[in-house]
Amino acid sequence: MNTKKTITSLFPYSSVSIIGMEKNSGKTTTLNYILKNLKGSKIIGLTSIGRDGEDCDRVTNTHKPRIYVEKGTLVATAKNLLCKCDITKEILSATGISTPMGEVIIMRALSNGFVDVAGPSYNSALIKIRDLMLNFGCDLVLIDGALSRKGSAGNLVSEATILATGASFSPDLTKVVEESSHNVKMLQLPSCSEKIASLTRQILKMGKIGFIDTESNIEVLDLPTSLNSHREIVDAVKSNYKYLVLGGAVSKGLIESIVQNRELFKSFTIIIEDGTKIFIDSNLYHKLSMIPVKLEVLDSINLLYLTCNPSSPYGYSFDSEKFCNLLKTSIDVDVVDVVGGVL
Amino acid sequence: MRYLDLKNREKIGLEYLTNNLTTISPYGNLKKRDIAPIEEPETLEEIFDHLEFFIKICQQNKKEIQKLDLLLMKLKNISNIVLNLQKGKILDEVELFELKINSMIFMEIRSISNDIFLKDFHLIDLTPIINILDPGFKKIPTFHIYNEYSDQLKEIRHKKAEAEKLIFSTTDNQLQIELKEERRKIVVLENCEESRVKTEISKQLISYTSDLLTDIDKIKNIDFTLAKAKLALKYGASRPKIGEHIEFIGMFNPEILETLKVKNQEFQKLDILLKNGNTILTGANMGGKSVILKTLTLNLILAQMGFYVFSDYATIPILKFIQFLSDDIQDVSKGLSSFGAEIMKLKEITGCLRTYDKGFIALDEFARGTNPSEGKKFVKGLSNYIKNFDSFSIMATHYDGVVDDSTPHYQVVGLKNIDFDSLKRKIDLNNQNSISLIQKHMDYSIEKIHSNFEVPKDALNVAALIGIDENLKDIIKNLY
Repeated sequence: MNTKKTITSLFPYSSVSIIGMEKNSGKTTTLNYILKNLKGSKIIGLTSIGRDGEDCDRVTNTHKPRIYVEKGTLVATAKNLLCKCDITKEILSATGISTPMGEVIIMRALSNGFVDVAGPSYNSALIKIRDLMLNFGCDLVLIDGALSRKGSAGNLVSEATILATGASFSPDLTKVVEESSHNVKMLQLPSCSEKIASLTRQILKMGKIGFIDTESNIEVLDLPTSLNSHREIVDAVKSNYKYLVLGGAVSKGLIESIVQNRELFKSFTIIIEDGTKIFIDSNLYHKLSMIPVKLEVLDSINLLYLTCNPSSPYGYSFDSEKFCNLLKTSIDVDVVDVVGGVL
Repeated sequence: MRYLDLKNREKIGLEYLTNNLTTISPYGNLKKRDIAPIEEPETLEEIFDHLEFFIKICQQNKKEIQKLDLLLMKLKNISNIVLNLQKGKILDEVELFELKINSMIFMEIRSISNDIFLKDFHLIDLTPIINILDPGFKKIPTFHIYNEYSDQLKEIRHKKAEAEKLIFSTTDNQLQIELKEERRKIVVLENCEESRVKTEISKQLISYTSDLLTDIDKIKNIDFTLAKAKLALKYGASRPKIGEHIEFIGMFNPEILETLKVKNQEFQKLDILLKNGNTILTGANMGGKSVILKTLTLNLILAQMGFYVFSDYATIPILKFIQFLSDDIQDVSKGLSSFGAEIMKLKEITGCLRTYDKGFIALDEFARGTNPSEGKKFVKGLSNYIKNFDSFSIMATHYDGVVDDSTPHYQVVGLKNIDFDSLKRKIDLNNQNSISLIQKHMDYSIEKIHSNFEVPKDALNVAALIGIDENLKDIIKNLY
């Protein structure tokens, strides 16, 4: 995929989120790469879920690249970080949405410069910010997803998603490739049929967890979340049930209980809201599919491509060509090397 | 508290009303939180004059009011920014932005309100503030430290842009690092000049802070009075006359009215006249004595807070205190029995009487927590005690013979005109609904009793209607 294609593939959308597999997987590098190459063709609105764009990573204490925006870009960030943005700022809106670092302010860059971005940390506020920026006349809102906040990739928030992976995830190249391809698989889980989708929506209107049986009857469990309710869910299974609907986040523990009670769940299909809601590794997913249990989603995520960063801030790097080629062979989405350039 | 404690305010339905008061701006919402009773008749009359005028405007200028509502909705509370500015704080970009945006909205409000409202509500012209914050006269609702503020700033920014162009066109890494360092220095210069400008603007703005505060106060009053007007229109409330006695004709309780509406029932409006001294209220169980006391107290405090009252016609005196002793005041948290709590409250009430003389006291089943023969003495004693003051009091009681004929006496009509046997048959046929059937046949209106002071003895009848064991009923009956 060449640079031009990487950039033009963003054009049909008004909001794109960039999510990372782990800390330091090259999200900011990806963002800078896109910002640099989009220069002049689109008015960009930039925000993040939670905090990003620090000089130094607060969690792992490694050096991080800063975000550099062009003149004309809109930026939504917390008020206390305005002093860390060296663009000339035109204040467009004080949104009233508060973050630990102050109210989220929307501004226009009247010069080029570095920005420090910290947007709201929940989706509904993020949607509000996105819409405000679109109203102020930007063409494309880029949302920087923070550490394990894959939620911003959900359909409600952004129309398309870019996944960033990189050497920082693990020094073991095979492991990085394996987990990256697993993450892509999760994001690209197939959608369920129209009929099942409408039954699922019915269940999610009434509660969080439910079953659909062979005759399309639904049963809703009175549980606020699937977290820590493994036992109740397993106990509620009846022989004529065919689908398990799980609203909200789906934890590793629940899937482990399902694997342990494999007999009960044979030939089940689990419906989740979207691919960002499930938190299991490739090993567990493999076990699940051996039962066999299928995973399907209510809303599929539009994954545009995977970006890879072959060097790690911890001081090692992979051979870029080898890394990218391995990724390409195991994943059926385009792979872009945002450091080395065109692939 | 002189004008009801918080618990009683909630109990009589004042909370419900203030929650239903639709103030729109953050200023109006603040005002709603501390509404205080007014003791000067002139001030109160002026507030009623304003309210009357606003009600008229709400009916006549619907379009303007709608526009005004939308503008009020856009406002943010900038009081703190203005107060900080007054104290000499240098405002940052966001604060200057808020000041500009809100001043622009104030001006939009002004263009409507100064045409339709009384002079007391006219806003001051804020054009000078907007001009300071919009040096290019662009009239766009955004703000930045404009180049117009300083030639030096313009020059620095020009240099910054040049540097950025160079950085973009350079591919040599080393040179790029040098250029970025160069740019960083320019950014520092820009920051310094920007803060100089901010200091200067803030100084210029200080002299307008009092104008801003005046406008904020006016908007607070506009929003609040509009909300009161809308409330009065919603329920058909009326302007009370300030006089020497308490009189309500067609009084009702909006909260209970709404509850009944859901059940497709109507509130039976009440007429009541209280003169100085004590008035007795009696009536059957379930007859709504408590509701009458609550509604009366609610309307009295509302009037004194400058609201229209929920009544077709009303006269109210200026009261120095309003007290309510409810029938369920037991305070377990303080380890008090109901009688103990009543006496504590009574201490507060007599204290008010001695200090302020003219007030209003509603007592719901006072001394019910103790034995009837002593309780009766307490009620009688209190009734005689209150006569010594210029206050109004109303007591709901079950005890008879506590007062002489000279004390005015109201009675809930209740089930007086009902054929108990036929109602009992109806209830027997439809056992589930005994309570609602009784409510349906209950006459909640009150009438003045002129002589033969005797409390209605409907307890056994009501109990029989709701349904008690037949044997028990017979045993009780034999005791009568």
